[in-house]
Amino acid sequence: MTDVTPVSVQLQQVFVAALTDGRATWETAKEIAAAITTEAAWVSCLGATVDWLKGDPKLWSRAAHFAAIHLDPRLVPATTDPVPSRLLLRELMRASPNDAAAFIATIQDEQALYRLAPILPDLDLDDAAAVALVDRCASLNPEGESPAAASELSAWAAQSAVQARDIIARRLAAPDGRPLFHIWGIEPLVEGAMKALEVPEEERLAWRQATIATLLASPNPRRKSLAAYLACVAWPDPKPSERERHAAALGIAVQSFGEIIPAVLDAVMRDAWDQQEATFETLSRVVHLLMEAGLSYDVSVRILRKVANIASRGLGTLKSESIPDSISSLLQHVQLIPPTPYARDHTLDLLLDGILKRDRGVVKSFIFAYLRLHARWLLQSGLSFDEAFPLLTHNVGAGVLGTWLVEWMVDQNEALRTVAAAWSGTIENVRPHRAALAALTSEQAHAFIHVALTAQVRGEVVFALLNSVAEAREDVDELVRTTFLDELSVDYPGLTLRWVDETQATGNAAKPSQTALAAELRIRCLMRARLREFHEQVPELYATSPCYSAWWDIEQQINATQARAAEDSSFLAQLASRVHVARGEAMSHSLSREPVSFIPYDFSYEQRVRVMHDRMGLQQTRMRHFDSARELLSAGDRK
Amino acid sequence: MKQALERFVRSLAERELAGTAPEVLQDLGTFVDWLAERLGYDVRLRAYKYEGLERRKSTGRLQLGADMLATKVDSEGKPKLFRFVLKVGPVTVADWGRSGDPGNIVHDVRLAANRSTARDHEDFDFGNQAPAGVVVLAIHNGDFDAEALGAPRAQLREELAKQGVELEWWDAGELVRLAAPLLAVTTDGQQGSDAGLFPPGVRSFARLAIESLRRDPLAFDFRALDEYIDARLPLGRKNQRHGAREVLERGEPLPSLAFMRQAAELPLFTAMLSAESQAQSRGSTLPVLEALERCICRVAEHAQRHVRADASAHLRKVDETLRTLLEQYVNVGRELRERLRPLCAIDFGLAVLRSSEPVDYPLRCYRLLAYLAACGLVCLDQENTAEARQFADVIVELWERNDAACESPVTDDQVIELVTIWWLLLRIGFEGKVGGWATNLVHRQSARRFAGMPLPGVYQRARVPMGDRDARILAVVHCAGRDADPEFVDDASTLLTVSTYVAYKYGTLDSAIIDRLRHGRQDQQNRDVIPRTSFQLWIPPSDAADEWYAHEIAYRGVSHQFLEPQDRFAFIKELEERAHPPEASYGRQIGLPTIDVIAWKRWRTLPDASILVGLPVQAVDVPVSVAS
Repeated sequence: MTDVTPVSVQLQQVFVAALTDGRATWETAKEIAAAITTEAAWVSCLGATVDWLKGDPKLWSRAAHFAAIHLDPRLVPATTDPVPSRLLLRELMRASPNDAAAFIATIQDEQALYRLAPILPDLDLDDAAAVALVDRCASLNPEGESPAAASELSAWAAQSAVQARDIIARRLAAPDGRPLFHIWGIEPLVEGAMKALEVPEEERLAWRQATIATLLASPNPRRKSLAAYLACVAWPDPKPSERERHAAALGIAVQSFGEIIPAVLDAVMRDAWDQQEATFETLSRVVHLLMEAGLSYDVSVRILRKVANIASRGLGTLKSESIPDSISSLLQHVQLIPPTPYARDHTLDLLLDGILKRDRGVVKSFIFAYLRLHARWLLQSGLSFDEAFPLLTHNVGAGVLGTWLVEWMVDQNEALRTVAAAWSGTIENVRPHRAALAALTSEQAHAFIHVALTAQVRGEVVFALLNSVAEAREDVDELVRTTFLDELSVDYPGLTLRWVDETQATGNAAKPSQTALAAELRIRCLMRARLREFHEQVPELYATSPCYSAWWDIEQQINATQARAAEDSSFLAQLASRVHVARGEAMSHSLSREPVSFIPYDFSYEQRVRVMHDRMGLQQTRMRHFDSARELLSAGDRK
Repeated sequence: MKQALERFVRSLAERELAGTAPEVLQDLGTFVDWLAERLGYDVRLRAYKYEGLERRKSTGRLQLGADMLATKVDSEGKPKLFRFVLKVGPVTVADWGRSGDPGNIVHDVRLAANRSTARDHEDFDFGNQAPAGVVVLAIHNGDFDAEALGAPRAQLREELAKQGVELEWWDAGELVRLAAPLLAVTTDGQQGSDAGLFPPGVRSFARLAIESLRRDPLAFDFRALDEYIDARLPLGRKNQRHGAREVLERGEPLPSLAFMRQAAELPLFTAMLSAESQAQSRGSTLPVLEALERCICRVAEHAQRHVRADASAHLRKVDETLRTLLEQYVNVGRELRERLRPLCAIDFGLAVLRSSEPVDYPLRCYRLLAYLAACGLVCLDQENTAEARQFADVIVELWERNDAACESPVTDDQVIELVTIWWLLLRIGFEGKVGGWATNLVHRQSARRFAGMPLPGVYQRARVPMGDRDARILAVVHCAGRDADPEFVDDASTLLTVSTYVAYKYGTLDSAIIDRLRHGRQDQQNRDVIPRTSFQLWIPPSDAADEWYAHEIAYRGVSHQFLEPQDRFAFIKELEERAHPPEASYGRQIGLPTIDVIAWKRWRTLPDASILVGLPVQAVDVPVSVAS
């Protein structure tokens, strides 16, 4: 350091420019900052600036906010420890305690708080500033969670134990209607106070006990939750064992399980990374209590999500190659968590991913049972497997998932079969595995086709499914043939023609049965292509549409004013009635090998040909496929 | 056409004495007037005269033999005077033997030849040019025994030639030969059927009906058709009040000769319609079929008023007219059958690409198949089993390719078509097919019920043309759901009853389905989630056959409810006991029971289910057609 004074002045000039007209020469400041290497040098350099700001509260406040949010990116590289802002803030707050309290009370940004947090232990805050700080910390995080910058606040409380206990006492004495700050704001203070070495341990423990008792005495569930949380985390060092602490928290939680247990789980989570065994045991105990508590489904699911979340974090750092028994017992309960898109909740996916690395078998049996439980919901929601479990989908691999897909499609659970059939066309790059198809029994293979025909998938997928099973097996040729002739050629004339073209183009490579089928289908396609020509020869057909104009009028009115009538409440009937939405091609006056896709506009008058001609038959056909699949699989099961 | 024309020509009286003639009645005079004008004669004296409000026929001694006078320029450009001598019936040796009697054709020919040309010229104003020659035209609407009377006629011709008078002779065959080309339609459709043939009182309706085909084959003027039939053969029933009840009582029978003559015009009219329809580049056959059904009903309505035991020769001719109409019906039906045959190989072949197909497709299938079935039944009545088999084969193919529509009727009165189709097929020997279809139909109705879709509407009618209100209600409920229109009722069904009977008897219907249909589904408050379905059957009153050719029997008879339709054997027994046939209808009396079916179709009277009872005792021995 050669010439400190000019540098200090230069920095002051930069700040003056930045805070007044916003035209600061940050290049100069950057060069100065790069040359400063020690904290003492920084303090020295910032002295002139602090002195200049001290006299003007308005400018001081602006400088504090500027330092907290904008200073570091301008002065130092992102990788560097943000020294300038921290030191400037500290010096500013030391220089003007009154302004400091006002500044803390106006913090609205978490970033500002986190700039402030590291310097808290160095500050000698007066009561007003301290209360404002706790209030800010408590209010910047959602209700019921630990305050922001909790560890720093805790460190400050450890150094200012008397002041912290005073604030806590005032808060506990204050009515909840007019609080100084959110009750959870005292949590880091209590933790800090328990570490205050200047106070004898017995006194600290007695004070802790009294504080928890005060909280428990309140009917307010927030205070009870806080008491349970503190019972687990607020201990002087060295802390008691995790099991002991968790038990203490659970002991409080049983008073009002549904309300308090989330706070207990938050406390338990703090041990998840390094005390996994104890955490898993506590989680197991929590789940056990949860099942006994008889809480509502929503509350149970919320708690189970937390449990799964903690377990997945614990598994992430667990060194063991095997799955602890406590986790295995947890799994049967976390099945209750409904499938959710990954973006909304991915605790289960993370948990299964943690287990997958150690035991694939457990994951497979869990996921089969889980899907059986939630298949109907999955069907109704239209949620795809890879949307709910993207990590699992990726890590398990397309081959295994293709095998699972086949097994799901011939599962005893009807809804799972249906949802798996729908997934067969939606999970990217995952198709039924050929070896798995070949391994099916004859009944299962036939059932597979029936299930594929109930799927709410695009026509291309139905064709691909039928192709895959026909290529893998010989014993389904007859069913494939009748399916093509009776259903697909009617529902998908364009795709059928494409299939015929492709099959005939492969020449001898195709199976003889498929070649013969293609020839038969071509005749049908050609016949259908001539349909319009035939119709023109029969004027009687167009002369016998007595309801055409009435229908046209009604359709316009209905499309404009009301939704379609509610479907029957039967699950399968609902399912079957929805199938047509995904099934078939739109009407077209000419037949080409390009399927005419159906675009369901809200005010569209276009309808699928099959729906116009035989909506009930379409549903009946689907129901027949459901029945056939059920009969085949139950017959196979009996064998 | 020629056959109908010949029947018509031979039926004509020399002169109609009825007060309304010649406005609505045709006779030989009016016909020859029409023919002469079309052949280029300038008619000076018509067979009838208008004198103010009165009409007078050209009859009596003052007539001096000639019923009509006309002039025509011959090939050399010279005008000739033609004296028309009209007589009804054939000319036989006996007639020639009475040639001296007044009124005899030979007598009148001589009388006409002796008329004063100068007087005629003066009376009828032939213009500046006096006729260069005289021709006597002897016209009668029967056969001329040319073998026996050839020589005498030549002798007569020579005799007249000496007076400077030529003789021409038109018998019925010649009249038909001359008239037939005038009624034909050219292939370019320029010259249509000539409604001018008909008397002025009915001509306008006939013209409207024929010309509506020319304008738009898809918009046939049914109203004009009905007006024509009413003008030609008025219904003649009267509304009688019996206390609170109003009944359309059976009318008085028409005099048999007049009835025979009026009925004979109908086949000619329908033949003209058919010719017109064909000329319109494969026009629709449906207007002709509908016209024939209406004509058949009206003729049957009048015929059944006569006591069959006293059937005169005239009434036997009416029966023949009816058979001619049925023959036309079969001919047109055959044409329809051949048009539909290519569609037998295509699934949903009878469907068109229109959004209203959920309603129109079933209506179309039932209507078309019922025409074919009625034709097949006519063939069976006439013991033409090979032809009936051909109709049945096409029906079977079409039903199986269009089973979606055939098993989804939209109105309960389509039971008429259903019974028509199944009656034919059961008599032909398709019990297995019919049983399977009936089973499928009940299954599909059950599935529709439990999917919340409408079943056949009880109060809507699949009549032709369909009423606007019915069309709208059907469109609403099939488009927006069965609760969308409060007028729609589908919780009772005759169609389901008949289908269940056939399915129980010939199919494999599971009675549990019937039980489900009957009970529906209720929620905890016992409100219908899925409505209950009543199985009912209309038992016609014993005198139903007196009425069903004339109008729909809607408020008479008994509707029987089946309380335990799920009990198969009890249901069959109950239905067979209840389904009493009414007293023998006219159709059954003359061995053409299909006329009754046509009447049910026409007027939408629910069918007499007893025709299905006891079938098939033994299937008719039918040769297997080439098509099958």
